[in-house]
Amino acid sequence: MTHSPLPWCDANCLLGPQTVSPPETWVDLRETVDMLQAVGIKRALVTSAVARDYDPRAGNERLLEELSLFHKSDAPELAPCFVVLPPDTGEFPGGDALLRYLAEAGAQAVRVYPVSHNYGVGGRWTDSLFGPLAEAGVPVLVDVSQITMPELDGLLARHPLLALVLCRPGYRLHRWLWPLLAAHRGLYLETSLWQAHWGIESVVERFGAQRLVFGTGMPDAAPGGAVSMITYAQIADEAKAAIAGQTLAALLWKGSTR
Amino acid sequence: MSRWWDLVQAGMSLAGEVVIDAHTHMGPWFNFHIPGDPWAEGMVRTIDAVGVRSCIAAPHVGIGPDMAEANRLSTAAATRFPGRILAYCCISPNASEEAILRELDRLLLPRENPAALGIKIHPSTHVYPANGSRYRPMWEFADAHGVPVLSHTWGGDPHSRPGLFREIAREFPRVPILLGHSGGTWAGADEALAAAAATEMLSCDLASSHLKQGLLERMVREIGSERIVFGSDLPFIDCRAQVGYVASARISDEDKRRIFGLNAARLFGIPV
Repeated sequence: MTHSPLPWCDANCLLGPQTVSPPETWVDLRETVDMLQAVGIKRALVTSAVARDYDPRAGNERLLEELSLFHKSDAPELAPCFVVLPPDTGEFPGGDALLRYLAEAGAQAVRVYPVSHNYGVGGRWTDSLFGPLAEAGVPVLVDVSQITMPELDGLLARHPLLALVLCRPGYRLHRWLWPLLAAHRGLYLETSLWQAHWGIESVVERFGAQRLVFGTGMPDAAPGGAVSMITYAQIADEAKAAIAGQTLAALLWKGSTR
Repeated sequence: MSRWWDLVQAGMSLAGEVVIDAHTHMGPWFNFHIPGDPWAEGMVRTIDAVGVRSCIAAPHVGIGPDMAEANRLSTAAATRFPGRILAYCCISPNASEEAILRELDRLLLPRENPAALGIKIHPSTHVYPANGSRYRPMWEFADAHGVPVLSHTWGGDPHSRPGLFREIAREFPRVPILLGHSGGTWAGADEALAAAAATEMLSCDLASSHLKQGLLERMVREIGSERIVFGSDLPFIDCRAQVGYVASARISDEDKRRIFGLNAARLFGIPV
């Protein structure tokens, strides 16, 4: 039993319209906030779906504008997570300029979509992006559908300081992920789809609670199941608190270089 | 918000309610590692952790190569954990008709005291359409005896797309059919709901690795909560997730009560 409210912080929440999604998932910011509140979530890292599906810069700007116009007393704290690209084509700044771009917007993490945005994950394409992010301590989120396991292995080997949150890993991936968790201390699993039988307990036991960060997968997924996997987990309350929000809160970028 | 959600959010047991998981398996599976104990004892430990009263099991080997072994495992588990683990009779279309009829007779007759409560088929893993001739003896048996059938369903799969069951229900009108995963994909869910709306003997099962935003609320609107059944795919997937999805849905607590257990009790004849 969980004896006190957990410090829920959702690592994986998209905002805005998506190119491919049914009407049920077309929820606006107010509805998203209502749904987060209904299940007790006090804080969320939010990413623009428009940045993923249309244009990263335009989507990031739209996210900031939407957040700035939204006011509701007792609403959860919504922290922007910016979608970024490698700097080589000039579409996005690199190095210190990228960090300034993030800091000025108050972005606390970044998210990348190598498959959707059509670039390689190898060093040739991404060292110029991930190097400065790792040095500055900016956490990177990537969906499991956007990277292969060998690519993930290589990326974390090249950037051992990088904090990488793998979003939506599912219950069939243990054989792939356990060796990576053992090899790379910067790898974290977001839990919205981590619903293997005793999957939470097994990671806590083998690798520690600090390797799991809570997420909902909203708006594509309903949020309640991600919450109940933690509240019913047979782990210590301290471990639940770490997964629910403490680990992510510690990872989020505070806007300065390391 | 909801008494159900209050309990779930606090991690408290639902044992005071009737919660029946109508879609479970048992044992290992070739395609991935199951970190928790996948056998009967581990499943009981999991349902105890959340307060699920009973689960109805179709061991994985039965959706794979050996239905008779699955039926031996599930009935043994039901004997060892009475009332906690209940058995499906797994049927493979790749077995002989003689073997299929033998398993049906052995597990589902006499109807007053059967070893299993229903039939489980998985047309996708067995790569054979649910309306194909090799399933016909099973449908005829189920129709003759009014035995419920849980089938895996998946949108776009020619062997298990939900629309097939609309035709099957027309031909075998006494069979309560549970559409496993409610068609799985969004397109599959659309098809499952259309089929269920048109055919009273079809119900939708919720087993899934996640619940799509707004889907359960839409299901209640379109077919009513009386034909939606709680299921989790345990131990493929941990039932503690599905419990949270249903408990937090924006539907009434009475709807949740029916979905969590009363509908399965009615469908499978489980005393509550």
